[in-house]
Amino acid sequence: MNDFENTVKTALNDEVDEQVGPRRTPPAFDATRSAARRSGGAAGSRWLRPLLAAAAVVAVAIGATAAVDAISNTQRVAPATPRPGPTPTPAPAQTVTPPAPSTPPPATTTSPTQSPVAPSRATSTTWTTYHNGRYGFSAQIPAELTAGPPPTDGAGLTYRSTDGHTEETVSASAAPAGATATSQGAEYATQLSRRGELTYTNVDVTAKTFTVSGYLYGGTYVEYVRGVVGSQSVYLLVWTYPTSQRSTADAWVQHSVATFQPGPL
Amino acid sequence: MIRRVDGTVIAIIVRTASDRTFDELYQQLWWPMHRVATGLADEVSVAEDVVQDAFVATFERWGMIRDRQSAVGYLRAAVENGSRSVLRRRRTARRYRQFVVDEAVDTADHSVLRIAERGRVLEAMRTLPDRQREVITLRYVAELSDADIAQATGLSQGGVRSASSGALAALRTTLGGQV
Repeated sequence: MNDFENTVKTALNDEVDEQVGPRRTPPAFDATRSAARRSGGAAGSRWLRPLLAAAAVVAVAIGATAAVDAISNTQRVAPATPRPGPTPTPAPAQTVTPPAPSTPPPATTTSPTQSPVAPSRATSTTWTTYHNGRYGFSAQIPAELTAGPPPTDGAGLTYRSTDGHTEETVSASAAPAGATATSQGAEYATQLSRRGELTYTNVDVTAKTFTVSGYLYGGTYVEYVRGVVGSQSVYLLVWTYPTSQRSTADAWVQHSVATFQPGPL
Repeated sequence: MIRRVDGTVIAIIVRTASDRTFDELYQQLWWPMHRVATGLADEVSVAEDVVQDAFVATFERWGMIRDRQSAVGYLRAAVENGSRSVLRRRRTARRYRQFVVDEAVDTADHSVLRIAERGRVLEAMRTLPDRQREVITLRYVAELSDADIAQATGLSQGGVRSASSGALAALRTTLGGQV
């Protein structure tokens, strides 16, 4: 995106932001509101057909699922893409706890492929190390996550849980001209605040790192972005996971951030 | 969360699985759809109605929608169509509406300059054909891909790219060196 497009984008989003104000939760959904306004009556007859159709679909689905379970005990296939958790909750008031500051990484191999690492004491999780030869960075991945597609905006890889809800993306890309941890942190903070609720930002100028965190989808998901900004490259560690799974995922985030090894700065 | 006119057994069965998914979709997408509709319709109260109508339309077809991705696509198209209808209805009124910008006269304060710049961009946007303006809004406000914009607008992906490049070229011409 060039400067002109950025100007257009900023102008449009500023205008929208000014009009809509700060993010708010949706009003209670009222399925009768629009239908009543359009035709002013006969709601029962309008509802009967879609309700019957929906009921038929659900009944068939429930019946089929029960039959399959009873006959074969086969494991259901998890969705491939993240979906919201089963019980959406309003965005909690507390901020997402930032992970511990960087600590000396454990001894890991830097082979181009993944290699197993001893289980973490904190999480009892077995970790593998992802190493990117092109940019020279490495990151640890919980064994529970499996490799998915590469990110669209850089070199790296996305790892997902089997249920598709939790993601860890490790990536690197060329640093924009003049990029600093402050400017990149501000950019990611702006992006997150547009998509959800920004709850935490931090920039460490000395370490050239920034941290941005917040909630997506009405508080049902946490997004955590850790960036390291070098003169040539930006290294990113991005986590997305359901709020309901924070007890597990927060520990993963802390470990992965503490052991994240950027390439040349 | 969802109020219904029918309290029948059928409705109760539907609630066990289908409603939960619809509720999740509503919770997730209401805000982004609200922003996009505001960008397209240029008025918050109208955007709220457009989004409400779109969700109701989606809800009414919920039993026939295959999966979540289809639901999202249907919802986007409904928002885009609803916004377009609103604009058609008030096109005449808009023609005479004047956008007022607080021009920076005595100060070079960044925020003032940015507001002035925004005003010029918005004015230029209003000179675009509907399709081009929709594509630009979906691309830069909703941050949709060409494929998603194509699905929402009914254009081909090539048509989306063409509309986008045409719009940007027109904006450049209109704005000249002003931004």
